[in-house]
Amino acid sequence: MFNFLNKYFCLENKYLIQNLIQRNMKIRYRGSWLGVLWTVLIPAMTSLVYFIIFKFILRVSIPNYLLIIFSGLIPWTFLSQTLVSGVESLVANQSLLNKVPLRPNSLTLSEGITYFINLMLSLPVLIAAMLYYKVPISFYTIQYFIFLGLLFLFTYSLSIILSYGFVYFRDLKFLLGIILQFWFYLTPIMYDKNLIPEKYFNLIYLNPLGPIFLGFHDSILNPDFVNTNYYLAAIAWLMVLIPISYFLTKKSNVVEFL
Amino acid sequence: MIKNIVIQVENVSKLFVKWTNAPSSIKTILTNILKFNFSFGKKEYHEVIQNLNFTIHQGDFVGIMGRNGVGKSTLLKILSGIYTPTSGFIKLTGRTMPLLELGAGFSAELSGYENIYLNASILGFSKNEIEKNIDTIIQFSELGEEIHKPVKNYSSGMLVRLGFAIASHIEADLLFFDEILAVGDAGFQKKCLNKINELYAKNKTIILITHDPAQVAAVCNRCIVIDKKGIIFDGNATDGADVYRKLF
Repeated sequence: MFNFLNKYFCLENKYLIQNLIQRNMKIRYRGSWLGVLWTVLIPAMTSLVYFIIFKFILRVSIPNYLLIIFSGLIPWTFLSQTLVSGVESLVANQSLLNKVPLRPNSLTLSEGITYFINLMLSLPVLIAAMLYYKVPISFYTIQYFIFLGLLFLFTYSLSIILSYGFVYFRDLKFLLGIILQFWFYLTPIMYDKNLIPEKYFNLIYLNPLGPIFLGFHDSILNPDFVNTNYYLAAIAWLMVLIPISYFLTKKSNVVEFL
Repeated sequence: MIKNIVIQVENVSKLFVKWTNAPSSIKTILTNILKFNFSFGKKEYHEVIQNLNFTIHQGDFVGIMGRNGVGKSTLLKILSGIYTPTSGFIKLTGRTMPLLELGAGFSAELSGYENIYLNASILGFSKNEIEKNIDTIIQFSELGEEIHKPVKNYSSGMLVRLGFAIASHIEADLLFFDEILAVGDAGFQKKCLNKINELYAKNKTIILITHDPAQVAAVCNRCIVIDKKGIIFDGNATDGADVYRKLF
């Protein structure tokens, strides 16, 4: 078990990961005027655009709608950014991987953590929206962070799989862009669970992100324990993805194909 | 005096698999399927290293020479742990410092100072080790105040100087150099060789890939010449340099 954690999360190379994250953070906003403020601005602005379109043009009548959007769109931004940069994390670093013995997933992990820090930095938007809608922040809100943890594990394991796949199959990057668009609307981000017809509701579990994002909505809006099924479904999906991605990281000859 | 064996290579072979005519895009796969062509390319094997055997003792300074494409760099990558051998057995004792490229992972936007931390941590060094050596690294690189400027404004000579300064100032037992001395001006090359000699005097084990027989004869105490068939010479550095010269 310890061996797994050590290899999967590169615990031995903690200092390397830390330096890679620092590099990512420094480079990303170097030279821009608003700097790290963009991590807050991007999800906030995107949410506003969606809010205006869906609320005033398509006339969706969900209560606390802006809060629903914020609670889902901030994690979604993390997911899509991590996957888009994660898919290239091996190929883009091929010269490095060819010269230094590195665990390939340390590069994927540092990308994931960088975007996770960005996500944390944009949470004040969500808190502001909660205060605005007078939704109480309670003990149950902590569940939001549990789902964030599950989402992180999901995103990390999927990025590993994608990054290895991209080495052999270079169409993956373009496919991912399209898949993400579909996935965005298949996942309850712009709508809540009440809008899903009851007879199709169980289909939501086929989408690994479905239960996680329903969990985001409920942990913010319902001061109660989130439906256990959401937790179980999310964990079940992780039980599939983490072993696959761990198996891939043990394939050491990937460097030769870069 | 019996010296410890620090590098042991037994029957090591490396086979590269190459797919010829492999469809690399969906478009080709789809058109192939439409043409009822389900072959996905041919597997081709390319043996770079065959049955290599040698041992290196502690404190040896080995020059590895040979024509282009006989697998010198591949061998060094296997020893560094970047490639795994297809068959055979390798045993290394001590901490390795593979220097196949100077300044691996340098980030153009960051300053030289920030890149010291980045590069050294990529090479596997801890925070303590870096902080202990940072002043000597900066001094050796001769960059002075430039160290706080972004690396993208450095000349290639400055980059190499910084890269070598980082790599050579942190403790390791086994050091692998791959033709990195071919870069930099004469003054810097001399400085590098002095530094390598200093490490040699400290009983570190060094492997150097180079195409300069005079250099091998001057600095190494042992030379291995590799050809397509395998090792064709292993012994005294001056004799090895002659064997290499006769290859051409």
